[in-house]
Amino acid sequence: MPFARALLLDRARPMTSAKTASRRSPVTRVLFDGPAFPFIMIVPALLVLGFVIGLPMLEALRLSFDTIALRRPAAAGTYGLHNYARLVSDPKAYAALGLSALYMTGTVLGSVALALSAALLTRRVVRFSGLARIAFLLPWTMPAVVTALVWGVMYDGNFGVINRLLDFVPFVDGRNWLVDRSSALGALIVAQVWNEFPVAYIFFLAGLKAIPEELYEAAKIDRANAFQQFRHITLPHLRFIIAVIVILLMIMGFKSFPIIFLLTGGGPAGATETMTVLTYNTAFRSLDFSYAATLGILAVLASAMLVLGYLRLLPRTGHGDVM
Amino acid sequence: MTAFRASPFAPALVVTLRTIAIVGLAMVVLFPVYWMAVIALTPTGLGRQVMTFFPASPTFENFVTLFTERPMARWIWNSILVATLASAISLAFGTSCGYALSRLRFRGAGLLLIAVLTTQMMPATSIVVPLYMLFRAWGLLDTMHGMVVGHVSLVVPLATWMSKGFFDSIPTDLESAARIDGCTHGAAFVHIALPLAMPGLAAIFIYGFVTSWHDFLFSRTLVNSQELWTAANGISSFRGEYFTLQELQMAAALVFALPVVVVFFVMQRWIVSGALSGSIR
Amino acid sequence: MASVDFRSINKRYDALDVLRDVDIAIPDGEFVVFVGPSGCGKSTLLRMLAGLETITGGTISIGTDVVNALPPRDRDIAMVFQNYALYPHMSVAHNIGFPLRMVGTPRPEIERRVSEAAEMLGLTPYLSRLPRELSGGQRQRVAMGRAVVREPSVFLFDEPLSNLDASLRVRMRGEIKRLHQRLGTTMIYVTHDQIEAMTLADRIVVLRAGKVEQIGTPLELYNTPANPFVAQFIGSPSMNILEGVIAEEGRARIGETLIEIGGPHPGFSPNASVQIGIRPHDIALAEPGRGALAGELQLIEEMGNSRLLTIEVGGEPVQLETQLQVALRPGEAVHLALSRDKLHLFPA
Repeated sequence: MPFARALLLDRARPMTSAKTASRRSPVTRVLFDGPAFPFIMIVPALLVLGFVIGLPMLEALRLSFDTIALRRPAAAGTYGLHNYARLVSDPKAYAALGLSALYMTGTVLGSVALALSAALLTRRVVRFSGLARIAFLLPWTMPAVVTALVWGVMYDGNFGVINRLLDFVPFVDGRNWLVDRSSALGALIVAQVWNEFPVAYIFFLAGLKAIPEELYEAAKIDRANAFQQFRHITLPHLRFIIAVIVILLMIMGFKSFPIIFLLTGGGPAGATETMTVLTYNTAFRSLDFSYAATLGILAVLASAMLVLGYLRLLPRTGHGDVM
Repeated sequence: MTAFRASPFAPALVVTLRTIAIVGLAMVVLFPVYWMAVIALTPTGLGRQVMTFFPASPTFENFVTLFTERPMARWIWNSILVATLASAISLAFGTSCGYALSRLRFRGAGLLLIAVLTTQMMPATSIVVPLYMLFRAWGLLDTMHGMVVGHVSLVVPLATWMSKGFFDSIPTDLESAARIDGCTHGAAFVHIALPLAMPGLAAIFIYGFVTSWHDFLFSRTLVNSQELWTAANGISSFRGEYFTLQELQMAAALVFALPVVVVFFVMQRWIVSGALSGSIR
Repeated sequence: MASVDFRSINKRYDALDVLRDVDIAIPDGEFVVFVGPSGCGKSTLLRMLAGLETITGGTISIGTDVVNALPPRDRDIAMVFQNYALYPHMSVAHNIGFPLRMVGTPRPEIERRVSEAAEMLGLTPYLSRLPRELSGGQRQRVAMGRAVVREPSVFLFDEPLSNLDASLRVRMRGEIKRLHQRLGTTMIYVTHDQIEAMTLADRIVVLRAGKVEQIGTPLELYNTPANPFVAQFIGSPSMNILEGVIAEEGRARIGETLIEIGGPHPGFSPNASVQIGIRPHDIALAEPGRGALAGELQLIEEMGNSRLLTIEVGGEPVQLETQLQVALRPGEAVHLALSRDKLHLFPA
């Protein structure tokens, strides 16, 4: 009984300096212990955020009302809504939105399918599962630039390894994947999926790990077959993770730039000119900065909607518990 | 009775099929990386003539060319410099902001959170256009510090959001206890929250570093001179419009990707948990 | 050492009233337990005293000082948290010494007082360990050591034992009581466990939904509960409450049965509805007859030294604790005698 020993300790202790010393200067209290403390923590960060992000966003807004374009140098300083008027009647802008949507759909479907298969195959420790996990994570570490370069080499029209592999497949002809109008967007989607499905894979693996093994044992006793187990246990448990991942992949697909830009630059003839590439080309090829800024603002608004969807989902999945 | 007895052949068959599926899928996924290595090891100019799936006569000449005839070392140094500075600056400011968002209730916190997340999630092309115009006005175009500032705008939102996540995972009772034990709120942050968040902050630094290292767009638009290019921009220049040196490209891509691969697998656990806390790229 | 005074304390979160007009005066050296079901505001009250929650209305004083505006570190209090809140990156010695370091106590003195506290708590062999290398009971001791070492004027305990297993909880309970007897410092202890409250407290404050239901010594609460809530909350197994009507002087009617209630009971006029409370061990099995409630035995739970019977009377379950070892089986009709002196009458 250690406390019993306390009874033997001498109670009378000299009053230490501690109690008086704890009263520090009022300045310290006001700055670091009062309602002002949040501001001390946040103001420097806000200044930086404001400088590197807020200011450019304001500049983008200003640009979108101005006329800064190489074609019309004299029109600089002419403020108005003309960029927005042009936006709503610009077939290229609509095409870009459509292509972005197509690109997002393709990458989301491809990544979820690939990641889910990979996660289901490697969820338990089986032969080669450890090595396979590393293989399934590796593409994630590849910079988008590297992804673009390596797929560019593989897609090469004349001697690319993909066309050579297709020689072994009857009735499928090789083609110049990135130059052919009908295949360019699909080819880009494949490269993007390869680069980004590991993110979904990590989420799925963690989500699968979180499903209690007893549920499967109970299901087996209740005579559920493998498919029924997947349908009635696995899928319901992954539902919110899938929702979160879909939004994250949509955001990633929407942001995607280097892969598309380096592989096709938006071509052939605009067949892969998504929002990001159109914005870039408008600014740095056509040198129409005002209209590019307007396109950029449109993209921010679209992202904000995705973010709101993401935030709405997060508390429901309790993303902290995913591990 | 028979309904319960599994066929003795089924498990073996299932195991075989599963192994084939795992190995097959892994090979497909690994193939581009493998192919990158094959072409990188092929003599310069012969990449298009590789007719097997192995490098015919492996050589390191492409790597040598990169560092002797091309400014690869310079580009990598630029990348290291920019990524270190941008990530460190972002970490310093992002951490205090993330802590405030995690712990302190104040008006507008929710809105700030959405703003931070949106800036992290929006396409970089949206910000690079106005940034280019501002830098042109301020004379920051084609300078190293301009690149750092540009990358800070890329990394600060990420650092804020991630550090908020890490601080959220530290029980508030610890800081309450510290405040009762004689700390100011600020001292509780320094003595308790900060040391506990250290592993997380290291992960954020690495994440920020990798984000900056990977960036192509800012480097492409904000600097012009070849000697200021970062590696991402430098190696992409090997992909010409009409003629492409595949072997040099692949060698450069390998050199560029390798550090990240190593860091990733050394710190796999932290990085995976960072990704799961909702902060990707 | 100091008294603590809560005066018309209010707390509201947005539109939610968490505490309403709480008045509690705690004299110096008293061990007071705040008890109540979860969400009653007991922890909020404690955290307001600690300075971790803002005060919406009213004043809190420690000693003679109003502390409303003081930050936690200037209130001269120590607190033991439910999850112990040990600093995971510091050794046991550093954890215990932390409050002293924060006020700039000289190193030799810190070392002396830490080793004293460790000695007292049996932690000496563990001083260089990290909290995660300790068992639950040891962590709990470290948390207490950190509180004791600074010799505060008030100790606060926020459900400190609820993360321990049953036997350890009983042992630590005894040690906390001994600590109070030894130090004589004011202690305020929050729990949802009425047994902890009964065993530890000099006085108990029963809270429900942000209001004080009753303040008193454990025996006062047990013997003269102010209302059915306190009556049922304190004591185990819980007090039975039966609905009845005052019939005439000294009698009440429960269903069709007239029972003796003794008296006089001022404030209860004939034909008034009444809630009649009786503890399970104050009910006995009886022969059918005048004043005996008829019921049907539903459940028998053996407790070793006694058995707990659940009997349905007029559709309501009534619990009875008896040491009688007669053979009984569920479904049997039984009759209950309520001992007249042990009834608690509450206006319905």
